Amino acid sequence: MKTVDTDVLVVGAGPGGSMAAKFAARNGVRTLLIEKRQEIGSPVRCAEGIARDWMEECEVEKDPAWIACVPEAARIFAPDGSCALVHIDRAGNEVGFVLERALFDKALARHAAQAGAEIMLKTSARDVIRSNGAVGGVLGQSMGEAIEIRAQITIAADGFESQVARWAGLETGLATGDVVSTFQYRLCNIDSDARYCDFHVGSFAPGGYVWVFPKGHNTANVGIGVQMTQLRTPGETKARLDSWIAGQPAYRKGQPLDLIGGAVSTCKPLSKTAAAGIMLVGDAARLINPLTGGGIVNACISGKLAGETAAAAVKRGDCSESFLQKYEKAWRARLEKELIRNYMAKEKIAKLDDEAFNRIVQTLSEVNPRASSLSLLLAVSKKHPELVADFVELLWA
Amino acid sequence: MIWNTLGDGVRVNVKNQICLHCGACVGACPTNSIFLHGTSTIEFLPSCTECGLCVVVCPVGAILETSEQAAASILPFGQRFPEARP
Repeated sequence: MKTVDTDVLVVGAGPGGSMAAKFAARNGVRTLLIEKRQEIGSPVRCAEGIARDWMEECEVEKDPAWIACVPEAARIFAPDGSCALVHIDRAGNEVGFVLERALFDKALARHAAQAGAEIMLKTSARDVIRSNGAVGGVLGQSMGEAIEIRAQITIAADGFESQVARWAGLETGLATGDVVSTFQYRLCNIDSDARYCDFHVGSFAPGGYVWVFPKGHNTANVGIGVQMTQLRTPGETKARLDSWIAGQPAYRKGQPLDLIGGAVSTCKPLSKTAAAGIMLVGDAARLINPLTGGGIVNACISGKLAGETAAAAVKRGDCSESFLQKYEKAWRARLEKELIRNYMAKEKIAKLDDEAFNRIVQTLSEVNPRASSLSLLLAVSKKHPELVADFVELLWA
Repeated sequence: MIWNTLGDGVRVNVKNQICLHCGACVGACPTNSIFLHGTSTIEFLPSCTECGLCVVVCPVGAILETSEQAAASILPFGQRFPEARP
């Protein structure tokens, strides 16, 4: 068996993994980033919407190479066709840019390499190595060969699957109400308005929504998310999207350039994301925004924090759970309040019927589209107090 | 290709022509019993409890249940799902 030794091992070269590798390597520790696929960023499993206001924090410079489209606003469509406009600076996590994810992921991995990280492709983990009650790396396969990768710190950035965490004994299991099954086409030859990222809510997508994110050239990512508890038959997620598209004159003549499936978690923040020798970041840590299903920004932020903590731990020679609490505390201070608020909102919204959606979108459409997301919520709370009753104190926090 | 390591009798049947290797089933599996090898092979481990979550979360319907036991309990899906984190 091939054996490799490193200080910090990062499993998964998505945005969270590459960011963790960049900030670990830059702080002077040996860093290895492994990716099970043969190409970083491909195949894309993403609707590709992302906010604008996080890049400085993660030291990422905007590059036109990975921006497909810069929309002006988000539109939320009710089942009755009425529409609320939300200006892009206020639309929350998903719609500042529409990315070219395959290029974006490669750019972030390149930044990690420039900082000194090593990258191994077609290298997957199959179990964790346990030594003295701590995680000491992973066992896996690299180019078809068994491999043992020994590391002082393992950062699990393996996405929704979150297998590394579970092998390490961390609880990342999901309740069925906190899983959304997703399916998307990239459709060309449609009537697409590149100024808007569209969200369609209603009983065609129970517990989720349909999105249309423009990619330019009359092409858009058209996808659906459906809460798993609402699904009854195999393949229903795809069938629901097909049937929605068939009812849309602007989209039904569209032709697919690719199709992707997947799932996202919409749960509350986990109670534990670090243990001796291991930290979880991004989707693997269930840091997806429960309201929108967007995960890239939180993956990048948590990746940065984990990478910095990993380097500090290695330098101090202390990879204990108590030292890694530094990471746990840092991401909670930065992200937890919003995750909890959005989880509460999602729990309410998942139960709404079409009539309620019509009323809420009507209320939103009466608010200035440049109003803050807080004032949007406050407007809703004024007219529909029952919707925010459970978390109204969080609005003021 | 499907590696079925469940033991006696095939209890899940993955239609490999449909499977996108997207990982939805892997993440939804409450017992971490599904493993994707690269982008071509899916393996079910003996720890599978036949709960059926993978069948319903699969966005394209690539996973079917084939045993009599599973078929007898196939509907309604929602009623026999365990709550992994109650």
